[in-house]
Amino acid sequence: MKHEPSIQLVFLMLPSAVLTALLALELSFGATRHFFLHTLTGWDVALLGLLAATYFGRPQSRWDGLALLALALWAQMPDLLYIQGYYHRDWMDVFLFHIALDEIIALSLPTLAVLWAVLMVAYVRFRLGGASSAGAGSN
Amino acid sequence: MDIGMPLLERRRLALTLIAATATLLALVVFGLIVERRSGTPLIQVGQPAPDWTLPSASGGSEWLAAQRGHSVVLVFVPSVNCAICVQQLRALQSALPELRTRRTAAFAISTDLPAVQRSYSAILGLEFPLLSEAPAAGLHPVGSAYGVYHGAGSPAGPVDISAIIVIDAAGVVRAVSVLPNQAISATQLVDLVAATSSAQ
Repeated sequence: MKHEPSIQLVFLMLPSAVLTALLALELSFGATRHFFLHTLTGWDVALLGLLAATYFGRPQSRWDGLALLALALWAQMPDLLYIQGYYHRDWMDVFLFHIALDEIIALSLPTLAVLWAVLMVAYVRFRLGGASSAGAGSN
Repeated sequence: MDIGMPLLERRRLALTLIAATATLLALVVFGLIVERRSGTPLIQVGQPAPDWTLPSASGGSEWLAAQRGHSVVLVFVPSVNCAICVQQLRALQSALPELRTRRTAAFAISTDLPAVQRSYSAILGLEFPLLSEAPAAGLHPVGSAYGVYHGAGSPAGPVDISAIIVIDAAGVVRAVSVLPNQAISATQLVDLVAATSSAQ
């Protein structure tokens, strides 16, 4: 069954609702910008991957949202480790360049936000629109 | 390969992918360059101490220039949330009465956010100002000026060492103690300050 694009967008973003628990924690520490920086990094990379999958003929799936959640969590991993007592170090750039993007947060946060908006439009147009025009419904 | 997408749309998707990837890569490369370049040489004894103004865990701000006229001990720790750092902060707290008798002000600087520091300061019962130079605040201008961020020690990080800097009443660096992944005791801390005052 093919859902409306708006419903499919809900499917896309719904798994990331889990991150509100982390947002609440970071809010209490005044780290809202930090939270959005790394969440957007994860979302942007996931959307890029999903759009690349569309390019190579993989249809949209209702599980796409899990990729967004998984990569957002991966990008936030140093903060989860921090809660466990492991402070930020350069090697933590393996988590989607967590340290490097932190260093330029004044530039990286707005850039990633704009990129996310562009990729969401592209997702609707190419992955949802493309799939429906081809009649390639998801499972 | 038939993917059910018109050729023009496929080209537009390819362009979107290329542009978005290039933007992301440019951002990451710039971040990595900034990260690597923020590593500066460690400050040396005899050099004038770079001035700073930093937010304090208590909510206000502290600045070095206001301390002119008496000695200052600056303790850099990577975080308030690591075992060695807590050990170092506790040592500074224990040394505080002796430092006060020597008219020496004490400050600790970490990369945590002020709200995090406030919480730990209360838990550890710290009476000295805990100052924040969080990554989100910029490029660690203070730590970089003193050469304690992204140093050559292992493991590398925004602050990879416990660094203690003693500054005299005239604002000149009189002692630099760097111990990678090691805290110094309250007695050693007081001895460090005492050695600088006797050397003057």
